[in-house]
Amino acid sequence: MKNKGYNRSSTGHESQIEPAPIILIVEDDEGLNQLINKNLQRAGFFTESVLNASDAIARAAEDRDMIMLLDYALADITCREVIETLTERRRMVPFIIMTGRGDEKTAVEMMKLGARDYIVKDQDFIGILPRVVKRVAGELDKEKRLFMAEEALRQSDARYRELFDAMKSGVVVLDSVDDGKDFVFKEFNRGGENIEKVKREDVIGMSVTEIFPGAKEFGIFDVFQRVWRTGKPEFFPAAIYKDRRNPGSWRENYVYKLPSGEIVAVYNDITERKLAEEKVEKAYKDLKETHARLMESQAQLIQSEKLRTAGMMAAGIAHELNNPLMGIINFAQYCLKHTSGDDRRHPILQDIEQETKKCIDIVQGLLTLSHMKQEGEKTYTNGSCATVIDRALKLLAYRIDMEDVTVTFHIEGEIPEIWMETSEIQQVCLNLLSNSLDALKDSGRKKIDIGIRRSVEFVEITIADTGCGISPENMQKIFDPFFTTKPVGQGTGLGLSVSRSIIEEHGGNISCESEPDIETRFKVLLPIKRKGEGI
Amino acid sequence: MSKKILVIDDNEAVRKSFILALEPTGYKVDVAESGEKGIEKVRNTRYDLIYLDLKMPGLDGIETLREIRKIDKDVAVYIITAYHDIFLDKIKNATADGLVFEIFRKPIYSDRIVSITKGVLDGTTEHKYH
Ligand SMILES: Nc1ncnc2c1ncn2[C@@H]1O[C@H](COP(=O)(O)OP(=O)(O)OP(=O)(O)O)[C@@H](O)[C@H]1O
Ligand SMILES: [Mg+2]
Repeated sequence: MKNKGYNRSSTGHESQIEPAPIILIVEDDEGLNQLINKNLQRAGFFTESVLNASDAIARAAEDRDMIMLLDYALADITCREVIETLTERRRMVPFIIMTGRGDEKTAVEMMKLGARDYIVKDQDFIGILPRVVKRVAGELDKEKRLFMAEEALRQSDARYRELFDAMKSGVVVLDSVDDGKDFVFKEFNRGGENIEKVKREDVIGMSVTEIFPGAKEFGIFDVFQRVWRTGKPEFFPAAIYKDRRNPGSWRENYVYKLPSGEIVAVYNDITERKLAEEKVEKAYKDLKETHARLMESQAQLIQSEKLRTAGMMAAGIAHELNNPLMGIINFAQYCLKHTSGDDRRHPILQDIEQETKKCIDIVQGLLTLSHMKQEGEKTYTNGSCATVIDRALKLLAYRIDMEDVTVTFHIEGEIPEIWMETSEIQQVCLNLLSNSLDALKDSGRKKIDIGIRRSVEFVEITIADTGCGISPENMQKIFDPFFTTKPVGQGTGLGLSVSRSIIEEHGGNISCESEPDIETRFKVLLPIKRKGEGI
Repeated sequence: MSKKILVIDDNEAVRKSFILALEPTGYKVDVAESGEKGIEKVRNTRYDLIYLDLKMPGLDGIETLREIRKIDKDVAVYIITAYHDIFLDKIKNATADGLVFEIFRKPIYSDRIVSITKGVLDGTTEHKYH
């Protein structure tokens, strides 16, 4: 007994509305049943009719959307049993009770059973029935929509919850307390739990300063307050967060304000990334250092190779010269002894003696140089800086003279001897003096001033010239191996780098200051105490 | 009897230097131009002081010294050299073997030759402070 004459009473804008419920009329009085049926159909309902309770149960058990219009006084079983049977079968069918007895008691009983409404069968009840059914149908429809909306909300909530929790980033929702003096946790996702190793339930409702005592020092607290006040999102770049629970980890925060006034912080622990970055950085630095050391040792190798060849020649020559020089000086001294002071030849012989001594000094200088040793066979001795500089000057005497350079050399007070590899320190002095001579080539005023003085636990040697000087941008490079401003063939750029390694090996230090054309000053500090000796 | 000095050096200028420098002292100075000749002289004469060069053709200074010590283990020997690095090991060995000698660096001036010599021969201790 189906009727398709039903017009959807929808307002039209909801396209997804469920089909209207079937009105199942359960009334054992056939005539009345038909009457009701007709009336409801006329009012636009789908209707079905049954005449007894068992048919009603069978129909109602079908999974269809329906409203039962149930007669209270059925012949076979009571309407209560119908409802209970359906409830047992987990079938909740909304129903309206029609009753002949209009007493309160029945009404209460029925409402308790879950009736949507009840209607008393009086003379005009047929007339008002459609209105009652319509209202119940309307209510049901509303409930259903509400349920669907709630369901949709629940689903979307669950979806966002899932999203919220599945994020690797920590997400925290905060509400301000005391006008932004502190913030309490409203939400805390699994990402946050994992990062912080705390439980959500231990955090919710607590304040930021309680859970993250390091937040103020870390700086994020200020950001929270600012964002809360201005509403402007802020990115808080990578920084180290620390407190008594957390020995220090890198955090990166993005903070914004919700329309609700709550603050959201989305953050990441990037400690691992930072550590990896640091490792890469360190590896790079090590590599650079190794490279620099390599360059330096290569430079030293070249320099020492150059020196070795030159040194071997010098040693050979010096050895050959030593014997004749010993002869010359002794012959001259013999003659001096046997020539009276009045003799015109006496001063000439003295000259011979003096000049020969100079030759001997040069030869000694060359010999010292040729003794430049390999690591391990260096021979350290106590030596005088003045002597070393003297020797270097003698080796350069020809150039100094030819190039018309005035050299002054002053020694301030008592200078203690120094534990050194003489030949190497002499090499340093030679390098510095040669550089000065090169720098003076085109200068109007050609002066080199050498000084030695004691400076606490060091002997300080300064070599200053009035030459062209060093520009600030070159200043940082002059100690680099192979850095030279001299034409090809005239400078290898090794002098200063080798000098520096020699000085540092002696536990000393070399530095430079330059004011072009006024003064360029190299300062060498050599420790008086030998390496390893206590203070 | 005047004291006797022997100078063993392959270089004539050096030998002459000693002769000239020591002339006023009255000591007797013999010279030899090689280790072999020097040893020969030591065999025949008793010297009070020997100046010995290190680098010589034939027997070098240390080898010569070993031979001399076999003949005369008391005579004072002064090794004079310009450049003793290449002999460093030999010198060390000689010291380890108990050969006694002193080393001076060439060149040596007249007054120094005289003072060393007098120090050794007349018992002054100047040579200890070289
Ligand atoms: N006294 C100085 N006055 C001006 N410039 C100097 C002076 N000393 C060094 N420099 C500058 O520093 C550079 C490097 O000096 P360094 O001694 O290392 O190498 P070089 O003199 O060029 O070559 P090398 O010493 O190997 O022959 C020089 O080329 C020069 O530009
Ligand atoms: Mg240079």
